[in-house]
Amino acid sequence: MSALVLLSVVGVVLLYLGLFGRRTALAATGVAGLLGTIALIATGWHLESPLFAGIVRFDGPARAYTLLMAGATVLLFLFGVDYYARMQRNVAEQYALMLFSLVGGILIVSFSNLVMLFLGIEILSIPLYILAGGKRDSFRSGEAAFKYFVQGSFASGFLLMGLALVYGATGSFDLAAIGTWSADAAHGHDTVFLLGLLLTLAGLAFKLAAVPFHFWSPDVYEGSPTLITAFMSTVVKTAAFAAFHRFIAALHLPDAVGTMLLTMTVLTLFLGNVVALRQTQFKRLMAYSSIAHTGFLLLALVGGDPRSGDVLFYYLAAYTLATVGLFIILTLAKRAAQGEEHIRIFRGLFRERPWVAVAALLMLLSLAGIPFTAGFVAKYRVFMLGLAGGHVLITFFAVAMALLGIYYYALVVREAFAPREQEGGTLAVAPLNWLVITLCGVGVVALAVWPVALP
Amino acid sequence: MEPISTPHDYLPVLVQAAIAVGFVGFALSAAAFLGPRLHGRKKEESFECGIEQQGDARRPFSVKYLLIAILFVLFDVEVIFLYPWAVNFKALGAVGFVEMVVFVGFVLAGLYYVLRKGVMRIE
Repeated sequence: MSALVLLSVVGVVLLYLGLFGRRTALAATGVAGLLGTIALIATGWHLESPLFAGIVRFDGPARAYTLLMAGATVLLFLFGVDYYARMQRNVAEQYALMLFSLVGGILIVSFSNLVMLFLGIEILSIPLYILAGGKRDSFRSGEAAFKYFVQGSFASGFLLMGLALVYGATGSFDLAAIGTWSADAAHGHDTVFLLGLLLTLAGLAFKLAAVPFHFWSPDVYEGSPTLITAFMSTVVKTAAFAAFHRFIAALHLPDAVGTMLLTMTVLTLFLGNVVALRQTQFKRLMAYSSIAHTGFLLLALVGGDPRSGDVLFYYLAAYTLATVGLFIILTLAKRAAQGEEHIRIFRGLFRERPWVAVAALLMLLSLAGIPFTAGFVAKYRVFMLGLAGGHVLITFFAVAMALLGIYYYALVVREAFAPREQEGGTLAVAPLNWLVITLCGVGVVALAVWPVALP
Repeated sequence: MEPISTPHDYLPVLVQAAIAVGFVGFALSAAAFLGPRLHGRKKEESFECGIEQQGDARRPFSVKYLLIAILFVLFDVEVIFLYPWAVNFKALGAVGFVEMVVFVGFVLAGLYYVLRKGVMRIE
């Protein structure tokens, strides 16, 4: 409760700071608020649970995910100091909207009532629709905002219909009550419940960008300002996956839903990895890579193993670190290349900024899942879960897709370490950006030797 | 918990949906088949009366009106929260009063933000 209030109030304070032209204090205030939130959650101070008449429950996983999301937002705000330095208007609003969106994220990782799930997703999404259109003069940014808004509203419709049907079948919005209801064998073939579950999961799968609900993601990722793309692919993805897992882990899923999830996993793995092979624009590449990772994350969930929560968290932490760092490096390279986003803008990075190139290498290797990085450990744990769940064929398919995925990350690595043919603009790295890149680069290696388990 | 509904309970919804779609389909096709088809410059204008239209729809225009309309809805809805509170004022007591002061405080903060941003500055 105190964390939610603190974040919302800091958001309002940021708006007022912007109103009175205190631009330099924005990121510092935001980071202070986020660190305060982290401290509140970590120490458990005033962490009443259950909250709001039992619709929010700050249990162990909820606190862990909150810390992860707030931590990622801190990194992004530190990056924002440099990123928004040239932006003239409405900088405060961007920071504030990210905080409001984070509040929604915290609500959906801790929901224990379906009403809160819906409200949380809306609180998470509505600021994002605005943020996606953050570059007011850019046609692509406007397109991204519009597409995201229209398709997001559509998904909300699915979700709402699904929740209504689940309520109609079970007579309750409470997650635990629905879980008890669904565990009853007599309710295994209830059509209304099944239909409700399918629609709800479809609505949630939209937020995860799982195939076939992924159509928005490449365009939105490409059109949105880079900082917001990084926010969407880390904080929002974490929140959506945590909520998805919280939802399906509490229920006894009918077989048909299990089959649907498996099908979705296979499709997502295949499409994400195969389409990424042909991408040359880095942001689109990251979008398809994000879809591919959604596939691996889904594989961790479908077995319904009690350990899948730990693996999911670990995977998301590794993915978040690598993604934040890479998007920062992209912004710097893009700036030096006058706004180009083709992966050739990384050419000569090693000659010019050896450390940044090495950090980029570590993050790309982690995303590809090469040993001695967190990404490898994460993928390894996912595959072990898949095998333990008895999905041998699908796990082998996922391994094959992971191997395929190495190729497109390697393309970027090759560019970064290739010598540059002609002189281009120099890559300036602000100290704060350097700090965040270093944190991310070291983080993906350090995380590999730190076995995370959820409280 | 016992199920409070079965798939059959949703039948009225289906019937309602069928009637809605059926009526739209009927009305549109009836108009298409029965109505006369006359074309003319005057007839194809968007509005029959009022201010003369200028140019087409693909031109930028001020969204000031939209903003004010949305703000009106926003504050209007927030005022609605005051009514149940006023009715239950005695039952909610001091805690309810403080909560409502905080709520109104946030609304006022929003109003000041909006004014300061110049949303109400027409011209």
